[in-house]
Amino acid sequence: MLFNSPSFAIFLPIVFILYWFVFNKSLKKQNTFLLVSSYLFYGLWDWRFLFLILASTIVDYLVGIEIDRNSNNPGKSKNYLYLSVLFNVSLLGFFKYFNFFTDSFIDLFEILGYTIKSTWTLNIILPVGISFYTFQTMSYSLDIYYKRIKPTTDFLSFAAFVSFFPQLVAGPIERASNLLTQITSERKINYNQISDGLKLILWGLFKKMVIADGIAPIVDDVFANYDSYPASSLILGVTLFSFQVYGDFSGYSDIAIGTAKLFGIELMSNFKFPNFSRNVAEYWQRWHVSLSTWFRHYVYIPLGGSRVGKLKSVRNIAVIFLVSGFWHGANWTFIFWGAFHALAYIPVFLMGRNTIYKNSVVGEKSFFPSFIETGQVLLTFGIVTFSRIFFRSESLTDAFSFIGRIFGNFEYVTYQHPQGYRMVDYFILLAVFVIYEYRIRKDERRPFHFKNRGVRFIAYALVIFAIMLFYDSGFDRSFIYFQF
Amino acid sequence: MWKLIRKMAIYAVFTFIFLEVLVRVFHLYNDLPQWYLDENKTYRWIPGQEGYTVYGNRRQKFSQYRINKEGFNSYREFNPTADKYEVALLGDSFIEGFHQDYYSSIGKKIENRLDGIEVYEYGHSSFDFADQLHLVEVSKQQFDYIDLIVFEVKYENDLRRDEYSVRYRAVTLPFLRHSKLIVYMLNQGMFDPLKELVSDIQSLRKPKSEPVGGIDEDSLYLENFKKLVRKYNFDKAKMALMLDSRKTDSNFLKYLEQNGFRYIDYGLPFEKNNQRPTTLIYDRHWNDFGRKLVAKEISSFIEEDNSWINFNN
Repeated sequence: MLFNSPSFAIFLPIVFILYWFVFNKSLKKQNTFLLVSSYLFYGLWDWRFLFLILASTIVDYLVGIEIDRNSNNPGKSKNYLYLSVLFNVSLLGFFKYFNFFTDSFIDLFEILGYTIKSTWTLNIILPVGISFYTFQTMSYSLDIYYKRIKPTTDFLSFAAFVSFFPQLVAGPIERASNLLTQITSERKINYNQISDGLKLILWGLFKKMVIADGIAPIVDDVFANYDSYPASSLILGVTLFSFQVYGDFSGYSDIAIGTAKLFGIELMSNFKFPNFSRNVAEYWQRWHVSLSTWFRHYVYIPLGGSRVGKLKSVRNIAVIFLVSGFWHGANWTFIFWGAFHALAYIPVFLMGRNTIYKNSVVGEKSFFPSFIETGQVLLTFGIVTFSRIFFRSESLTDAFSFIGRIFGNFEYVTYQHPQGYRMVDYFILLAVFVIYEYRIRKDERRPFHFKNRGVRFIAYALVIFAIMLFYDSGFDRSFIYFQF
Repeated sequence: MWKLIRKMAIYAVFTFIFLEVLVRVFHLYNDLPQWYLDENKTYRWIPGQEGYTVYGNRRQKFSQYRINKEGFNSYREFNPTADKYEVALLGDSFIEGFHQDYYSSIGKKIENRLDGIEVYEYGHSSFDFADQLHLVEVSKQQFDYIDLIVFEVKYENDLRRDEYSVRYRAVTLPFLRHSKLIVYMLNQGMFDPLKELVSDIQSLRKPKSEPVGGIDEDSLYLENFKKLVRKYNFDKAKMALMLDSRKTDSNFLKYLEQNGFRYIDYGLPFEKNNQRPTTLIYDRHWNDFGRKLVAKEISSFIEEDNSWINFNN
């Protein structure tokens, strides 16, 4: 069930009403209902994969208890932790990476001069959200192992934590210390929280349906036919892809966070206006925050983080970016994308500028950014956008050919929309979007933060109007990050 | 909770009004004219209506229409007389031409090519061959004065019936159509996902029927054609068909040729000019270039027709 589908528009109010007015008598009933709703939400895609979620839930629930019970026996508790990691990584490995490793293995042998006729690749369907919920369950076992939390003995609540439908299929990847504690605590209906949630849902729908879906046909066209387009069109295509992927994923995250608010639950922020980052390090503090945090907590810091020598720190940075790239998909393009970001991040780290913008936003003390900040933002956006060529291309060959065409022979030709639509509409749309996002850049949770009620109303109405103006009934409206 | 419901209701009402105003101010909606069923059980547009048809969410195409006294979209009135040369074009929405400015129609383009000719476009959305023949029969007095009658037949759509009967129409929720916002949303397919959802749910409740196989559509179309021309006394000297040979069964074309039915084939010029689009971007109808090709083809046919040659002599 997609967030931007009519079935979800029916599902959500029904679940909301039953949750607050029928199953509100006890926490247990409420959580049981939440669990059933989440399983229904997921099962409508493919009920068979519910068993994977259930298996991951049972394993980590039991492992969590065992790790805690054996806390004074480090060897045994570590073994239980390995069991959790092994189980979840195996699930991911099989469903997401099996064919990748098989193909890479065969390719390697071909390079060495041996030909293997492969019948090993399997027709595997990637279960939606597997990369997200396996990481979430693993984090639970890891947090117990590191004694950050105590295990729960309430299986229903734990299962609701793993499968909480607003963030089940594409995050934010939550840690038990935030989400599970809320699920095991009593929740009260709160007008302001619900109102904030609805506003976030509206803003998320705008980003998805207008920004991402509006420019998607252009991006698809440019990347599918890059060998027949001049450099100017390729630059346009990849720049628009930067906006598309941001609109798509941050739109999804806003809807997820907004939906969770309707049920009295606060999820972590996943996007903090990354397009206004002043260097690559700041970008990673603002883009897909839940994943970056996960890798920092469970990979980077256990490896020593930045408390080890410079060389080891650089190695640690390289590791998390490569793993992060690989997490996105079973393709060398994603690994290259991760490596590219590592190369862009490491100089910033070595100059000691990786945390200088941690607690500020561009134009912190004035409305307009300074010239230097503008330059920094444009440069960072350019670097990140360039890396998207790897992220979006089907193969490394395509990515390098794409780059080759940009740098090989620069030529400007006015781009024509594949369906003949006016391109100026999209340029105006993106300009207004960037200016509006800049206006609200200090608080990603309140996109309609205007004191005047009239202005607020006009903003809601114009957002709905924009959704109508760019709605395309013939367009596939699924989310990009569902494939990860 | 009541506060939330109350506020949401207030916001919904104000948003609706605000959007309604925006849609009207920018004229994003389609002014589709109103129709009626005349005394001969033929659908016509109510005469005297003028307005604009709009294609695309952002008014990417905007064209004017004008309904004449006969109830068809045309810049001219239909007054056939014995001393003028008139051609009638009958067909569906492609002839009706709401997708173009009414003064840029196929008929006008033919008139621009041939001096002294008047072209009457009897186009109405979804009119098939049976509708067209029925219209000629019930308006006999008028058509008797017309020198050449051309029937636009889309092979795959227009020969599904072997006799005329009224296909009653209904407007779903007509009271909602007073809102230009709702008209706009309907036209842009914003309710389609909801409709699909409802039909999916309905199809779950209904038992699945086995597909009916074994019907040869080409034979059926040919038989329907034979019955219709027989019933309505198709005048081969005065009447002609207009079709796309690329989309028409070869046996059907052979039948026409062997039995003296004349036809104008606009498929060939479309094929020759396939490097240029002949349909609109936002719509499947012919664009200006497509209409020019069709008009040229009809003009060439007229120039070779005996009635035109006699008229000019």
